[in-house]
Amino acid sequence: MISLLRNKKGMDYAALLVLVVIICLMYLYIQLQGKVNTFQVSIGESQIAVLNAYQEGEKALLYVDQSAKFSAYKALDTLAQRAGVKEYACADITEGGKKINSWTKQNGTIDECLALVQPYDAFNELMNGHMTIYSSKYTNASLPANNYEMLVQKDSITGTAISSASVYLKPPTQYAAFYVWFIKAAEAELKKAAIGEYAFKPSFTVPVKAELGIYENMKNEVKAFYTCTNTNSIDECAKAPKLFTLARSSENPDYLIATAKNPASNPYGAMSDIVFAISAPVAPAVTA
Amino acid sequence: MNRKAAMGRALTILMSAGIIALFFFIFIFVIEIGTPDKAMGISENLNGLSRESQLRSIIGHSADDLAQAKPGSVPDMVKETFGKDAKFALYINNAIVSGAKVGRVTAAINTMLPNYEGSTVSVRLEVGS
Repeated sequence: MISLLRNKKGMDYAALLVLVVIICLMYLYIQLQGKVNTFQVSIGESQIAVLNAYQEGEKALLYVDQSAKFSAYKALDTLAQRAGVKEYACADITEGGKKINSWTKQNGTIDECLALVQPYDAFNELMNGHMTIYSSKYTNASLPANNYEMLVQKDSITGTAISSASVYLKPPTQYAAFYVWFIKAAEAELKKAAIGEYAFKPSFTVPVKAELGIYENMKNEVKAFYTCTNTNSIDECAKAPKLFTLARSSENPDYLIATAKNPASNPYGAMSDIVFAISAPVAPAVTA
Repeated sequence: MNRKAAMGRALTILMSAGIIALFFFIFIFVIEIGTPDKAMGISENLNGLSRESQLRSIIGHSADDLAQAKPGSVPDMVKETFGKDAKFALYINNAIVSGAKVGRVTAAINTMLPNYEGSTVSVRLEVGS
């Protein structure tokens, strides 16, 4: 056997065979590389980009939910300071350096003035304002400004998004960096542009009790107060309202200042009382 | 045919076959290592996304605390979800507020949360071994 191995006869055949194999394998390798390099996009790249975008969308929704909760409490606080008035009140007074909206005015009809107290519209506007500030600070998705129609329910507030938010679809970038000699490939991946956009409606429902119904009830008590003043003295009628207390303004003697405890409580900070003024001159000039 | 010559030829063919096989395996090895994976690991990514969803849920439960730079119930929920031996690190604004630096990260999530004051905090929760 050893003598056979030492016998060099036929080795030329083996060497030739090996040479042919090496040439064949080199040719195969070149061909294979040529075909592999024609695929610029990896299989499953766009699908994973969609799945990742969905995750980003969910994170944005978590941010929106938290923002909505904080915005709701802030809006309720500001609404109380504005006494439910949307834009301009019928009149306003200054008491202790603070502007107070008046729900009625001298020489004006009660209904006309009270119509300007629109707590739902005012709340919608205020909450959208706060949501816009929060949304502008979120950097991982594009959240539109002034994007919500609010629905205030008994125990919750629902914000229905008008326009869609969007997240860019970006293919994964980290996989190629596993091999040190593919750093260039990894860098190219990092620079890869977005291949599309994933759009979603950032609507929300937050468990916040707005209790906006109190404004309507207070409006009814204001009307009842003026009806009372037709037959009774102002001081006597001022004791009747149950939802708010009335006190004569020290700087504007023709007005009474109404103060009501805000039924909405804020676990994150202070909640202002609802403060407004009503016209009540010694000789009532307001007509019903 | 001479018996010795026949054995010699057979041996030569055997050697050639061995060398060819060796070259072939080297060739396959070079192809495997030298070619970037063109098919993304869908199942691996889905597993990663699933774990990320679990982490997002944990963050969601303690969002109010996290916004105040407090860990809240995150440590308990991580142990509950990933096992008592799970190591984790909770970063708020790039500083660890709970857990310790994780050697081999198996799942992680980066997100932003707002706080009542109107600013935002960046939150990173990573789990591993």
